[in-house]
Amino acid sequence: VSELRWHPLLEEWVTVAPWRQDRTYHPPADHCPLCPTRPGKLETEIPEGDYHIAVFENRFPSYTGEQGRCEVVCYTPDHDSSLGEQTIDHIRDLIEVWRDRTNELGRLPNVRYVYVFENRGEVIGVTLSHPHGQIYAYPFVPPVIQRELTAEARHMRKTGRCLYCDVIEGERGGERIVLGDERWIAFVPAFARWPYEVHLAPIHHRGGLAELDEEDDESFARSLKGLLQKYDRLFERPLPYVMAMHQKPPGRGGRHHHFHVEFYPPNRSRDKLKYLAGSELGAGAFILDARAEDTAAELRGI
Amino acid sequence: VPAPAGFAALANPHVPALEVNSTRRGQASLKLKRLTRRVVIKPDGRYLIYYEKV
Repeated sequence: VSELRWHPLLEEWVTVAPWRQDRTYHPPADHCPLCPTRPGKLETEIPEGDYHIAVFENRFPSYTGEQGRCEVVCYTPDHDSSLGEQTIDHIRDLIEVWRDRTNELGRLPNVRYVYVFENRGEVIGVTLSHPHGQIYAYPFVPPVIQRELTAEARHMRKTGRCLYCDVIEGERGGERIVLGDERWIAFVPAFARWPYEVHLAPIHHRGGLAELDEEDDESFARSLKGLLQKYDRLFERPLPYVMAMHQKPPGRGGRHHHFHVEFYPPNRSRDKLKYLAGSELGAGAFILDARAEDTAAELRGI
Repeated sequence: VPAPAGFAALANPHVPALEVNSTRRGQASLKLKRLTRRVVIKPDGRYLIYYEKV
């Protein structure tokens, strides 16, 4: 089992899981553990010969048993595909899976937060190239989410309004919009910490996947695909990114939270990456060498 | 700072797969609209869920 160690200066938990050193690392495509099992080949994580969407417990989890869960979400059996290449209909199915897993994991006795995310690309640290995402069910509210919840609660006390609703109101129709419709909006926030960072959010207040109706789902799927297609056309190559879904915690907490999805591509140009270095890692102060207005215009124009 | 539950008791770490406390948060199991769910337990005890088109 993992060990949690308290960082007294930052007041946050550090999870120690040494066995993850041995996790599967860039296997050849014909030994991909996330592909369906092919006749006469070694059994993969998915023993059947085909699947639509599959979810399983991570073999090398950071949290398991009473501590929480770590799940792998296989988007498609097609090894050479990606989330952005799925049909709108398939992405709507994925939304239902993410919602189902959020609900199920949020009911586990010790789980305090369910985090749906995707790491894409080797430079992000992905060890399996098959299109997949992950879900962590944490035994604590992770620090970034906690900071958001605290800021949202403070804003609500001061103004009586949702903080993120105000952020969206400030962005709607503005120069940092990337795409959107009457239900969802994608924009490079004024406060972006990565050059091509994008926030994708429901315009109307929703706390998480559980609060989306069918029209929200349809718009979410369309917007998500649209954004990911723009990302891949930006430099005419698959753009690496982290996709982070910020939902409200399970239960009654975080009722002022506004669901949104954050994307952090590490590229600052086609061939150059932004690294987290002295200022960002050592001092927590992001320095950005691009204006959100300019990168939003680039993405909007694709 | 006390560790979250589950980290204090290092013994017996494995809870049967998918065990939930349905009353804890007053949340009901989600009714799927577009998919069906089929759970398989792997030989090592981990679960695998196939989501299939209705």
